[in-house]
Parts: sequence; C-alpha cells; structure tokens
Amino acid sequence: MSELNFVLGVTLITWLGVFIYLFRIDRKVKEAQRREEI
Amino acid sequence: MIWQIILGVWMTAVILASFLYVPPAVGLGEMGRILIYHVPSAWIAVLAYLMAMVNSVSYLRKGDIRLDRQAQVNAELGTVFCILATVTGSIWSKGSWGMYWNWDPRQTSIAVLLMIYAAYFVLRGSIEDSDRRARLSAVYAILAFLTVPFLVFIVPRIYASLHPDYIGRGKMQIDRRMLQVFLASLAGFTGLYAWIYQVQVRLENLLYKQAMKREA
Repeated sequence: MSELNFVLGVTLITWLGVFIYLFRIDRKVKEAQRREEI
Repeated sequence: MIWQIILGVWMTAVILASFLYVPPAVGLGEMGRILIYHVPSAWIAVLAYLMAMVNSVSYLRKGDIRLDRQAQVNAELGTVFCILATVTGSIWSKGSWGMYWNWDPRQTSIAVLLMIYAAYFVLRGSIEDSDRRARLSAVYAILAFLTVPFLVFIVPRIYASLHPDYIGRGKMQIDRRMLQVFLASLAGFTGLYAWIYQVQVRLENLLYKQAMKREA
C-alpha cells in the first residue's frame, strides 16, 4: 500500500470519527426536541 | 452560523492543503502529512481533559451542578479525540514501522490513559444520586488529569521510542509550508472542539431540565 493511502486513511478516519460524534449529538438533540413536544 | 461556515471552509482548506500544498516531510516522506491530523487530535484530547479537571475543581469549590455537566462533556470530548489520536497514530505506525500496534511507550501510555478515562464514565454510570455522582466524578477527574502530563509527555521520553519527537531526542525537521498547514489545522481543531463543546453543553443542560421536569 502506498504511503499516500495511509494518509488518506487517517484523513477519512479523523473526519468519520468527528462526523459520527456529531451525528450522535444530533440524535440526542432530536430526542430532546421530541420530548419537549410531548 | 457564520462561524460554523468559516470553520467548515477552513478545515476543507486544511485537508486540501495537506495533500496539495505540503511537501513530503524530511525523513518521513508522505507519512509526515499524518501529523496534520494526528497531533491536533492529541492536542484537543489533552486540552479537553485539562478543562474537565478545571471544571471539576470549580464544581468542588462552588457546588454548581452545571460545572459537573461541563466536566462530563469535556471528558467525553477528550476521549473521542484521544481515540482518534490513537487510531491515526496506529495507522502511522503501520506505514512507518510495519505494525499497527507494537506496544511502543507512546502507544502503551495512550492506551493506559484511555482506560483511566473509561473508568471515569463507568464511575459516572454506576452512581444514581446526582450530587454524589458529581462529587466523586470531580475528585476522579482531578486525579485522572494528574496522570496526563506523566503519560503523554514524560513516559514516552523516558523510554526508548520510535515515535518522532519535537522536544526531546530525534527532533524532526519541519518544512515551512508543513508548519503553516499544521498550525492552521491546530487552530481549526481547536475551533471544532469549542463548537462541539458548546453544542453539547447546551444539550446536556436541556436534557437535565427535562429530567428535572419529569421528576417534579
């Protein structure tokens, strides 16, 4: 595997990690909003 | 909203610059580009753990439950970025040394650090009473942070390590363009941390209010 593939892997994992974390927060916000409506 | 857009543009520019503007690093080749993501992740982990400790000290002094939630959010963010630093570091390790994990002092100390903070969440999850949970968690977060300088800065420099180092032995030579993008990435990650922290604290406060309403 070329060195640039490792760099690409690191870039993807970093942003995927941040995205998953933001997605989790977004889900919690939606849940809280749903509770507010009830 | 404007700050989020600026941050998005900024980080997109950092990603593009890391591939198109930064030259291969002396001694590390293309792998040196990993530095642009790996080191800022580790920096945010240390910063968030430090802030968790500061919030915990403030909680013990003032008794304001909001500080306990801020400490929890910081510990959570610190752990997320610590995991990212560990994973990106192990990919770097595979590319440079041929193995994802070889119990290098740096890898061992970060694994220990992750376990210490995993125990923080186990502790929080195991106590029902919110005041008792906040008090014990605050004490634990302070003690946990005492290990951070030791595990992140001291242990990897005491023992022989393959990990590149800016401060101690085996200093890396850094290109001017690499330094520019690296600093831009550091600033971008710090902005990202500040934004996520703010959103999550607001969310935790809302969830707390809802829980209080339900109990009343």
